[in-house]
Amino acid sequence: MSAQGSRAILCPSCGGSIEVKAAGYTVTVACRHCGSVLDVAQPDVAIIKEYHENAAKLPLPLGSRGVLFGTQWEAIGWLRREAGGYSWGEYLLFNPYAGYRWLVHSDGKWQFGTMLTDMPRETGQWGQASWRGETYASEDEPVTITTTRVIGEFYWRVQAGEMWVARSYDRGPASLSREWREGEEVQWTHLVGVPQRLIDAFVRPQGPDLARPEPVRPKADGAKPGFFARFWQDSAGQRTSLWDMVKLVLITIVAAFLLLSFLTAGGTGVRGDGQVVVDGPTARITVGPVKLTRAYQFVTVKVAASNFTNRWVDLDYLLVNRATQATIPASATIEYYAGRDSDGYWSEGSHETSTRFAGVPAGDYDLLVEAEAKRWNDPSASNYNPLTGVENPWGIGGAQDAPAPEQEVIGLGFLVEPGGLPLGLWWLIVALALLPVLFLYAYRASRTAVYGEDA
Amino acid sequence: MANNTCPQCGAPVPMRSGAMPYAVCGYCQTVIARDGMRDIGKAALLPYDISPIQLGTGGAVDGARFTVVGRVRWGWADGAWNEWLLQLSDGSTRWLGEAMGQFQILAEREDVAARLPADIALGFTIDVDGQSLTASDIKTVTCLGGEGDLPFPTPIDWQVESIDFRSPTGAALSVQRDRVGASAYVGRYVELAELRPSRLRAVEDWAIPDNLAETGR
Repeated sequence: MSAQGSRAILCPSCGGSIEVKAAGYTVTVACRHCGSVLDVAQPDVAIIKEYHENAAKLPLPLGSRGVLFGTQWEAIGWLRREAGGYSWGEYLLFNPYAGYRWLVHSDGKWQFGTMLTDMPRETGQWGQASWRGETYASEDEPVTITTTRVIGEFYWRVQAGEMWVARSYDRGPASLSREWREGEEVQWTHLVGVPQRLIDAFVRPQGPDLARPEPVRPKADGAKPGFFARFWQDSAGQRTSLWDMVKLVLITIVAAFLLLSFLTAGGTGVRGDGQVVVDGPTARITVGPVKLTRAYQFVTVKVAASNFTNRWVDLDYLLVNRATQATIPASATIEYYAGRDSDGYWSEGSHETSTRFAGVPAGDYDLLVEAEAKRWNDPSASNYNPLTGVENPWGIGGAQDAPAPEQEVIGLGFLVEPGGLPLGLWWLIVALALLPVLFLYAYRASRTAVYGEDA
Repeated sequence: MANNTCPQCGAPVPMRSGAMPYAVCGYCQTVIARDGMRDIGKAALLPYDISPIQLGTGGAVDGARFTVVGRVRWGWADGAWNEWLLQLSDGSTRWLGEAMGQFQILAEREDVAARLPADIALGFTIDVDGQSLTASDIKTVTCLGGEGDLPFPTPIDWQVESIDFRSPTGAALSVQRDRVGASAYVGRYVELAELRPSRLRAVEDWAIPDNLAETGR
């Protein structure tokens, strides 16, 4: 008897159809259409976190299958992880007869990871671990890894923002990775390199939303040069004077400034405030109404928070038209971290931020805000508090007797106003307008220097 | 002839293991006491899962051949796992735990259950066969259903406290307790291929890997 290979569910957020490949094992699915994170542990699919954005385009699309170390694997999940400003991808591989493995994609290189059930021993010497009679050495200090993005399905309750501390031990091309966090078992993974050609040999899934990108077609010989080719020949080959180009750039810059100023002429702003409990429930705050009179305009939302350290506040905005109920979403984060390490005192972030909606049609609007505040613990600080203390409704790990964390409240003040000159956008236009001129100038200068053509 | 019929629906209930006092009807999920073929309640219909094991899967463990004769599925808020009952040719039984794609072979140990204190907290350590095992996970789990022949009935909403112990060597101890009593299961992690399995479940779209494929079929 042959069992079916997957279970189909509908994303309650976007209605897209999702196949759950590892039915019975999978706990979390991040919708490949809209990115919403879903709980499929129970028969009723529930939304954990809603997103409305296109799932990232991956170098190895989920659903791809290929053979590594004699076993066929399907990529069913993907995480983007980040440590110290550096980010990489980790694919979860699955085979119903062989279980799970990891495929780590970092810096263009691939590694195959196996979760260990026989634990390596960290030998007395700090920085060494022994496993199956071999010694692995660590060059680096432990780092904190944050999961910043998830797509696909996972056998545990994965969440963007999840943090682990990791340390890597190497032995030649192989390595052992030790990951741990407060209140959970240490997880060891053994990693070995995989050549790119084996990844290239993976069979990508076929389908309208998963199709491979079109291969670049070689240009037919003897074809007439296109618009850009002619433009390049004219510009690089001295046929257009640099001064003409600079004049064009100046006109573009001034016109952009005037247009932006016109589009963004102000109006009256509306203030509102609210508060959010750190590690508490989502706070909902409404600010409005704000009257927009032009056909289309920018709307700027400024928010300032009360004083806090090592916290972040995630803000999801929805600008709702009172008459038509049309909505425009946006999001922002306020974060401020500080601490002391070997280099002394450091701080990062601020207590305010500003977000701009573009092209908002006329009407009366309310700004609906969903705010969530979270606590960040500096793993290198001595006063390390575990991340737990979050609600533990299932009493897993016996933490149900832990004392309730004391409530900490962050106050938020909002100012919603029409207009707001997007200076960043204007500078971008300036830079983009100048770029070709500078490039051509440098190109001509280099040709002059080498060949003396202009002499 | 060992075959009997379900007191509820009349379907045949094959006797897979001579020793098990309970069976779950494969058609109507009635829990049947073998003693007199009495209907003693209902088990939940097992939700679909992609396990490679099924009733009838064979293999070898601890020097004896085995057949899978029963299964209990347990669930908690963050997942679910299977425990497959293995009937060995030497008359003993083992459990094959299957969680998150990893397998454990476990044997029931009444002597260990008898040594357990009433209160077990995370970090509690017990010595079994010279191995030091530490309680690493304590949670309340619900029986999601059962199938085949079983040593105990599997009523709907049966809740037990499940405690997992780990050792650095990969040895494992699993304790399950409810109001009636405690059971302890001692074992180790295994690779499916080590069990030289036969009659694995065929999963659509997936080929059974060479190292698990039956020979001489």
